[in-house]
Formats: sequence, C-alpha cells, structure tokens
Amino acid sequence: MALSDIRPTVRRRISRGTSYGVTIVVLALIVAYGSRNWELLSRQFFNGEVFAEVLPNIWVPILNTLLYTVASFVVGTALAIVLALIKTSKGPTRWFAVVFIEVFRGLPAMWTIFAFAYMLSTAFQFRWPGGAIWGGVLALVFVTGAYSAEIVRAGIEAVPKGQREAARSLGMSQLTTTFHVILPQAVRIVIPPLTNEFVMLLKDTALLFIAGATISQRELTTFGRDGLTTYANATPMIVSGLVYLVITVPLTYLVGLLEKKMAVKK
Amino acid sequence: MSQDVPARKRDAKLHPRDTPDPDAPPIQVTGLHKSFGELHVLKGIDLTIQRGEVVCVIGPSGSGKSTLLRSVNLLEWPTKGEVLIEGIRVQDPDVNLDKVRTRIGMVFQQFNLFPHMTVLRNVTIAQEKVLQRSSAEASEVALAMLERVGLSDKVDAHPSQLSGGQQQRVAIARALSMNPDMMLFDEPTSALDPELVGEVLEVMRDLAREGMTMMVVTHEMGFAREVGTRLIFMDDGQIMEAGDPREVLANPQHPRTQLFLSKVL
Repeated sequence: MALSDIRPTVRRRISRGTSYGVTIVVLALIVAYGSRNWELLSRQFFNGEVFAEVLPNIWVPILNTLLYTVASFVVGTALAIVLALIKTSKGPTRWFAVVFIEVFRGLPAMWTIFAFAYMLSTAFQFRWPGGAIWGGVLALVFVTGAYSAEIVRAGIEAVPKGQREAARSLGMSQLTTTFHVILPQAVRIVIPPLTNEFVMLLKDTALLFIAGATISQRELTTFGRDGLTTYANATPMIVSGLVYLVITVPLTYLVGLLEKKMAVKK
Repeated sequence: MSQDVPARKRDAKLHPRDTPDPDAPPIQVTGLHKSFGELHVLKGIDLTIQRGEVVCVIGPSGSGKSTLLRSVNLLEWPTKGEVLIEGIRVQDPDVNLDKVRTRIGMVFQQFNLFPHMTVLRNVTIAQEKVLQRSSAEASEVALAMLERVGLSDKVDAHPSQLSGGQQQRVAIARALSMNPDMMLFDEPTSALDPELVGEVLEVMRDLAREGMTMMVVTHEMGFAREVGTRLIFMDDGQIMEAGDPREVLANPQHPRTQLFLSKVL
C-alpha cells in the first residue's frame, strides 16, 4: 500500500507521531551526551570563573555594538531616504542612486568594510579619525543605506497615487507634498521592514572585527574572540552570543507584531 | 487681495501672466488632445465654462470625461491643445502652476484625504503650507468650512473613522478652505454606498446655489438635471452633445447619447 493510499487523517496522525518520535530521540541523545560529558561542557561553555573575569569587561562591547548599530542605522536610514527620493524622481540623477544601490547591495558587506577600513586609507594615505573601525562603520552606513533605500522606495510607491494628486491639486509643491503627505505615510509602511534591517545591521556589526578595534572600541564578537584566545575557553563567546539573542529575538517578535497590526489596519 | 505693501511686493515678483483676468472665463479648453502611449483618450476637446456655471459631464466609462477634468488642473498634461484658467495659459513654463491650482478646488472619487492627519489638519495643512496662513487663521477657516459641510463635530477624528460620505464632505471642505474660484468634481459619489450619496449631493447643491463655478463628472442624472446649467455628453474622447440638462436628458439628439441614456435611465 502506497503512502498516498492512506486516509489523510491517518497520514497526518502518522506524520505527527514521527515528528514527536524524532524530537524525543534527539533530546535523549543530547541529555545522554550532556550528562556523560557534563564536566567538560560546563568547564568549556559555562565556566563560572571565566565568566566572573570577563563580566566587568562586557559592558563596553555591548555599548559599542549598540553604538555602531544605532549610528549606522540613523545615518544609513537618512541616506536611504535621500537615495529613495532620488531613485523615484525623474531625470538622469536617478542613475546615481541606482548605481549606488546596486554596488553596495552587490558587494559582500565584509569586503566593503575591509575596503573602507584599510583599502581607502592605504590607497589615499590617510587615517580614519578615531581609527580604522570608523571606516568600517561608514561602510555599514553605505551598505544598510543601499538596502534600506529599496525598502523606503517600496514604501513611497505603496502610498496611493491619489495622495500626491490631492496634495498637488491643493497647490502644494512637489517638496511640500513629499515631506508632509508622502513620506509620513511611507515611513509608517516601512517601520516593520526597517526594524528588520536594524536587526540585520546589529548582526553585521560583528563583521567590524576585521576593521581592527582598540580595546575600548571592541564590539561583542571581537570581545568573544579575544576571550576565546585569552582563556582558551568558549564561555566569552557564549556570553556574547546570548547578548545578541537577548536583543535580536525580541526585536524580531516586535517586527511580527507590527506587521500583524499593519495588516489589521488595512 | 489686501493692499498692504508686502502683498504687493509678492505680486510684483510674479510674472504678469500669473495674474488672473477677472473677465476671462474660469475654464477654457481648446483643441485638447491626450494620449497615453498608443491610447488616444481625448480627441480634440473645445470647452468654455463661464463664471457660475455648473457643467455636468456624463458618458460611458473610457469616454475620457475624467481625463478631461484632470487636464483642467494639469494632473494630466495635454498632448496637444491649450488650457486657460481665468485667462492664464497654465502650460506656459513661466506660470506658477501651484498658485493656479490653489484657485481650482478638486474632489476625487476616492476622497484622497490624508489618512495620517486629523480632519482638522486635513483642512488646514494646505492653507498653512501654500497660502501661508497662520495656524489660528487656518483653523478658523477650516472650522467654518467643516461647519458648512455639517462636520464640525468631527475635527479631531481621523479619516478612517468616518463614513465615505463624511470623508467626501471633508474633502470638499478641504478644497473650499483654499477659497477656490472654481471646483472640479471627479465622480464624487461613485465610491459611496447609495444611502450616503444624498448628503454629498446636498453639499454640492448648496455650493451651486451660492454661485460656485463647477465642473462635475457624474453618473447622477438627477443632480445633473436639477442643478446643472449645462450637460455634456462625451464618448470616444469627444464631446458628442451639449446643452441644457433637461433638454439633453429628455430629448437627446445624437444616437450615442440616446443609446447611453437608454442604458442608464
């Protein structure tokens, strides 16, 4: 008897049974492995002594991660709005925005960070004020600006064209219409995807580890890696990983909530 | 127009062609053609609307009546031909189109209120940003206009909280707040539930009674008959027949008019 011959309700029951079975087996294996190797696991991953030693040093990396994220998000979003307005406008200037967006979306973020932090300063013989890492942050500004530009453009185009017509028929100029009628509505539309972009950006700040931070400039990934080499222990990596999750998981849920709310409003 | 010095200075900066001629007809369209790519929507329209006229435009869908209306305030740019508003050639590059548009109120089928603003803000924003009225003055005008359309109790509501009929009345108040010399209506009741049509038509009837120059694209034959001073029947991008509404409706001359009216009446 082929699987398709079985009644759907029965088939569903069988497949649910299988998934429970697999889950239980996997959990049992993990517990078995964990209890046998508990000593190694706790020493390597959840080491209290290492934790106590790195804990005082984690606050600066946390703040730095947030600083790099917020700074590149704010400047990047402003850039994105400008790029989106240029791209949705008519005339040859829009090609500037098109090229900018395609280039910075097309290149790997890591390549761009490295190029900004080191390639430019080497080629043109200058130092980034505040250190190479700020070259890396500027790279993140351009990368997130390029991605968000497409988000904002979609938001602008999602505003019904009757809105622009109504504003123009009242005598509002192109500029007044854009700033008082179109953008406020577009911003509402793009808040969920932009929050998503914020989460992506927060994770992308991990790439700044190649941009060479001083101790006071370290972000969470550099902090974890330095701890790993200093103590030959995974605990600092685990701690920094948990900090990322504490920030990103609630934000991701928030995006889901916002999207649901928007869907209801429509 | 006030006679104080700053006002005169502002006017002096304008190109003379910007100044409306009080003796010229509010709307004058000559030889108007409009194409969207291959699609030839308007095929030579000549139309003059005098002050105080209420011109109703009827016709089957796709006949170009909305395009004609939207060409008057240049929401559609003519492919050929000329539009004169109070004697001003609006296509002239020297003309400040935004300024001309403040004198042409427009009401849309889909209302197009600004959903992120309160009713009051919908009616004040253009006054402040375009006419440079103070927020106190703009509010005063807005309240008067909302009173006029019977919605003074809705100033703090958002458009989404209003019925279609109420939204359309706010849209009319918004247009009136600019003190326009003429009003364009693009199927103002077509998106409304039948029981809400009356309240909007009532407001429009009042406006007509007060002598507002109006151009109305509509399917409301009753309104056209009762309020219209002239009825225009359009088909295939041309004006097929025009005349006194009662006469055209009762005794259409052109076969296409007869066919259309036999379907809708």
